[in-house]
Amino acid sequence: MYRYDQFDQKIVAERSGQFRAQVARRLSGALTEDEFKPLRLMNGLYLQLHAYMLRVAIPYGTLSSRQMRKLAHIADKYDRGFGHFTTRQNLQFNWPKLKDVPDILDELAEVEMHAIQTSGNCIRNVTADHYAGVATAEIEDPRPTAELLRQWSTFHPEFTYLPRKFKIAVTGADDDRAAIMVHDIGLKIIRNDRGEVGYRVILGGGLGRTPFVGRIVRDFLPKAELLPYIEAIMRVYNTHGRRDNKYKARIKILVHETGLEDLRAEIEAEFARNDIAAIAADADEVARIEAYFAAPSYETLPQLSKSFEIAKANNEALGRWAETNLADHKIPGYSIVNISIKPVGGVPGDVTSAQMIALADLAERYSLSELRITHRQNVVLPYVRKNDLEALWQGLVGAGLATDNIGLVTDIIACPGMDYCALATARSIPVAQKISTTFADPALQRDIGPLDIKISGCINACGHHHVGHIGILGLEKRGEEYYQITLGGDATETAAIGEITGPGFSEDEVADAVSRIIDTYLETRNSGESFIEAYRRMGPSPFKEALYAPH
Amino acid sequence: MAKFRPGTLRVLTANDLLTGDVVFLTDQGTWSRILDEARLAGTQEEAAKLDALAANAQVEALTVAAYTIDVERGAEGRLRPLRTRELIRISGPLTRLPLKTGRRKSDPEPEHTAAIGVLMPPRGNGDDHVSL
Ligand code: SF4
Repeated sequence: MYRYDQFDQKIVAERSGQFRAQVARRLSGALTEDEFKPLRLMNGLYLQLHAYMLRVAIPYGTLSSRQMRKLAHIADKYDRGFGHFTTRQNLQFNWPKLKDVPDILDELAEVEMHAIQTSGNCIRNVTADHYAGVATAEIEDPRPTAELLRQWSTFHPEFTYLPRKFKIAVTGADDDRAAIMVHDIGLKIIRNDRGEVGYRVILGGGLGRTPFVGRIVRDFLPKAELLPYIEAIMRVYNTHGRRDNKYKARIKILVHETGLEDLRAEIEAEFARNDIAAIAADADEVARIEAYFAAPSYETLPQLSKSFEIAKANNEALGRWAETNLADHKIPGYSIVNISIKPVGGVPGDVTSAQMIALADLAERYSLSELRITHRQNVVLPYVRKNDLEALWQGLVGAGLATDNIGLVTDIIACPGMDYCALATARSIPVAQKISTTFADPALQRDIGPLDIKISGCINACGHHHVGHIGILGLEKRGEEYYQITLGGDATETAAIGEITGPGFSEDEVADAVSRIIDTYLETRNSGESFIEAYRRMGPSPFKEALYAPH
Repeated sequence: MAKFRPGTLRVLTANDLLTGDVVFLTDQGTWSRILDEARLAGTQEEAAKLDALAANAQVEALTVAAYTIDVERGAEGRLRPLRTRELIRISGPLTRLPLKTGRRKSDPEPEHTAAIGVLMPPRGNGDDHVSL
């Protein structure tokens, strides 16, 4: 994992001190709320419905046991004993008090954490594949790239007041788990015909009010030219982004309105004007960053663990968990462990402080003290020996974290919605709870197979509903919540924006509507065909029929 | 500001600057966490006064994001907001919170009226219009 050097430590500590002074000035009346608001937002402090909310950055979703324990401590000392993992791989505290926030930031700084770049019109916390460094078929670990971008973008004076927020995601694998196609910039580490490693640069993806799948703006960018090229994109965006209209200010609209070809020409011209050598990261600095992400010293182990195979055969629950929650590791004898934060009937992404401590302890014991937060609001332990899987699972059972549903119908992404969020038009959480309760039966979930349900409580689409196989968007009409359903969305390398089925459903009806969609799939699928494959084959008609035809 | 519908009541709400708690302006010019203690505007004119107060600097000195909401008197005589959003804002998430929740020990109990700060003189004090 990356460790702060003296510069990182200094800027985080200084920032915390500045915010303490700003809070004091707000409380004394020296700053008005209008003056203070952008300052608090730049430190991740929002005002939600019931209270302030502090969004803590977890760069590319990677954190240590020590950091997770600190989050648990903050949840207990300053909040209400729990936190919420978001689709940006961050953590939100729902009830901090303004007077405590400077202390919280100091505590975070102690463990190399902060809340910078979690709000405002800047380059936000960079996200990455949560299997980074351990995925099979990965060209290179995306975390050094993400860390380089973090360092370059932090407090970059030219890009602090962009037309709108800007999100970058990185993956080094063919299977896109970082949703790079729906980010402002998606970076895919690739190898060209000559065997050189570089990036495919995807531009202008995004969700929200106007969803777009990103498009390739540069098919191959040499690694060393990353920062100059991104800087060229940012400069063109900063110049031409629609500052006149908040709803048209994201780069996706610029790509759409200008046309990819023209915009590409402008970016390339800007790139050519840049002093590439001056902007490119220093090779020594890149090497220094990469060294932090060097592979740990793995043990030489057989691919299969006999003890785990026997344990699985003798324990149905363990077998079920292994079937859904484990992923192949690039090193024989190791597994990537997915920990579901989606208990049936629970709140997607919510963890109690006790669970945070359990996660920290289990990671320390079984995963070299490292955890990852996924954009699907789950947790990953990246380095678990197969011989340790049974013991780890026992620990997870004890902490209420052994839900065996990764990738299944109950592994639902849901934003906080109107239960917390000031911008919401409807609640998301109860819809997720109803659907997961409806499909609680493990056998039924497995029969349905891979299925992504994603729920947002408003058009801002933090719950990624556009790219859910089944997407649900909560809206409001004449004071009543109602839910629009989209089908066929996809957040992976085959990205697609879901299509709206038709009129929306009331809160009482929406879980039943989802059941009818799933029943239709079960009745019409070909052998071995997943939901999304069946949808692509048949199109929306049979599903619309099931939803709207009079019964 | 939202059109005032006769038969409804309007109150001024905000979040307390220091704690973020949801609060309501009372008749005494203080802020309370209890909706039933809120100063009620029952006419267009009174509603307009409350609306105007939302942008007042003294309101902003103690609170964040002040705005008015419409409420009605429920069956048991208690006030309740018309919109679900405001209902949730007052009652907390409708969903069950994770195991260990609730207020911290140091937090004041919600049933206590917290006079977060005196904003203006009580009404009926010879000055019905709140001059600030
Ligand atoms: S999608 Fe809307 S309701 Fe949900 S968290 Fe984002 S802004 Fe809030």
